[in-house]
Amino acid sequence: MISLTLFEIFITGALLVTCLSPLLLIGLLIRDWKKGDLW
Amino acid sequence: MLTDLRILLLILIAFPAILVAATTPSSLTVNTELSKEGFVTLSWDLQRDAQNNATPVNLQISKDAAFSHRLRELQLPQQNKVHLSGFENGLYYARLVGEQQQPLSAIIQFRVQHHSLKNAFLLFGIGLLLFIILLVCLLQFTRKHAQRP
Amino acid sequence: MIDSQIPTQTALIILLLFGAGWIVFGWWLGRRNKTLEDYMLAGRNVGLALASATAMATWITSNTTLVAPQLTYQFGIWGMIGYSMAALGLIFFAPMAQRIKMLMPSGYTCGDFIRLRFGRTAWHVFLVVSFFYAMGWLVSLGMAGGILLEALSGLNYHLGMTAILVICVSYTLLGGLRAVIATDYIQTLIILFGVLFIGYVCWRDVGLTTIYQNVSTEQPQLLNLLFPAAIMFLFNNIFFGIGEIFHSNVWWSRAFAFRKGLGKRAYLLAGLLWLPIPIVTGFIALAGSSLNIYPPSPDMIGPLVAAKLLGEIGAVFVFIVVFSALASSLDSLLAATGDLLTEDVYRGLLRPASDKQHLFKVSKLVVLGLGLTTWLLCLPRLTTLGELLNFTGAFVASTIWPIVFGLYRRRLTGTFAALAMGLGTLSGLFGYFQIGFYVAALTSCLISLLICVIGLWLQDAQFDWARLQNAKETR
Repeated sequence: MISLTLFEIFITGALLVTCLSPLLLIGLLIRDWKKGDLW
Repeated sequence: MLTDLRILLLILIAFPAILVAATTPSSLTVNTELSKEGFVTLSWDLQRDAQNNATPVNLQISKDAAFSHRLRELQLPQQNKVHLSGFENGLYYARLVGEQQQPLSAIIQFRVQHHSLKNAFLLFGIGLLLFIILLVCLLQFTRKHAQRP
Repeated sequence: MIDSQIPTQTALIILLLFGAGWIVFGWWLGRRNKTLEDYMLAGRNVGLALASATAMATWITSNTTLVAPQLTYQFGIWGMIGYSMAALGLIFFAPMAQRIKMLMPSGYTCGDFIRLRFGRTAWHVFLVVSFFYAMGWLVSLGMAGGILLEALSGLNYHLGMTAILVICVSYTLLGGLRAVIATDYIQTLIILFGVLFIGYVCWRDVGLTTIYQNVSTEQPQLLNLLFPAAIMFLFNNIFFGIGEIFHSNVWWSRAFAFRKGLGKRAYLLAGLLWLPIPIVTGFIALAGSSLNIYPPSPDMIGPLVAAKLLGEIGAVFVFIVVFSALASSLDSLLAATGDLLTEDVYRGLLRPASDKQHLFKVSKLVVLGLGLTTWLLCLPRLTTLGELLNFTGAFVASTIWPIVFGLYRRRLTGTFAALAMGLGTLSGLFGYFQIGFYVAALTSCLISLLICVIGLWLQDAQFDWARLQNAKETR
């Protein structure tokens, strides 16, 4: 059985990484837009 | 005379069923008698009282037929089926009871027997082997073609 | 079920708002589409931000938001991890996307590659596999749309299904791949914010310790890392996912559309960002017992928990997230399958002499026709049709090795590529019906590999990569 600590690290880690996703995508979009590199 | 006998015969045969139905009005059924993955779906008839409101039912799950130690006791007022998961290997009994603990259904049973770990690891092993071959191929090919554009 | 539903009127308003917004957006983007390149491949120069987002959004389907909790509820930790592994398809495709663009700068579809690399026979086999999968996915998405909207809001199945198809077909028709990619970007953000919010509230209000304790008492098997069924199914599902991505024009058209040199990074980023999503959507299922939620059917665990945690707002979130996930996959599939029909069937098989401007017009009609066909197939609500997707695993997994060897080795001939796909598929189907779904993709992949290896050993095609440079080569 998975330990409580591992379980907490696993789920919390997934939540944190997913938090970064929209920030990253928005940042990339702004960068591409400024360079006129959208498409 | 023959017709009367036939009718009498029918009533005699049907009587136990009628009796059971009268005392245990809710037919509790399980979707499979043997679960290899540890989950089952239990269904029953929704009970309604005179005002057509759903009467509260409790679903009890136990590992012994006397229900002395109940694994789970769920209050499920609105639904007529439930999907339960996470069972370990074993024989389980289920029944519906009312608010005063009176039985509302016959006791049914289901068995959980997970797939053998041996078979599981066999398929896992084949899959892992194929996976490693794919990974190695992709790494090799990509490296080779990066060297000479 | 009542708990997780939103009022039908609210559902209709949301659909109308999104529908109107996307269609106007699609029309506006479509005005600058002048050529076939613009329409099918967004001008072949898509930047990293939009590229990553579209790859990610397309791979997030309604399954990711609703089946991930279901699988977690049934298989526990492994359910989540197993589902996450679908990201490997995107990650493994990353270097291949780069190579595809490099090898075929003027290519349009995966069909083009198979035709030029392997010849007509393999091309025909491949098209059968592709269309079987594409129609299976289209129909299952169309039906899922109707079924899910009905479960979440009481909206009539036919109305919901028609609404989603009409919206997606309209903006895809008007705007082409640009509209698909632009709406995908926005839909990605919506999905991410939605699942993060629901996940955060679950984490905050129920707490991981409580979840862990209740699950270990009531559903101990879910925390078992040696869950036999899950271990058994794991690699079959991984190869199903890899096969889906490696062969499908949805991903190849993006490889052609992304700017040169960006393909690898975009797919890698999309894969890495996708990896934790099934865990975030899945873990809330484990909170069921802590919230006294016992679902009537396993696919309702996600919406029921969300509604319990957030009330009607939660149900609205789920609705919007599910709609976005559906639309972002449906539009990509319509566009990519339309491309295959236009380029491979119409130009390839029927009218080879067509010029690009003519094809531009045809491609629009094809999208419309495809939408109509999907709608007709979804009308009778035959669940068995929706389950067709289940055994496409046998089909798609057979294409993995021909494509990998085809892209990187000169030796593999068309004969053996066709045999690998054909016999792989048949053996996969045999396994599916004789043993179970959990061996279909694995068997198909294994047999396909064996045939490819034999082919590599016996024959040498000595393929000249330069032949792929000009995709207009006559057949």
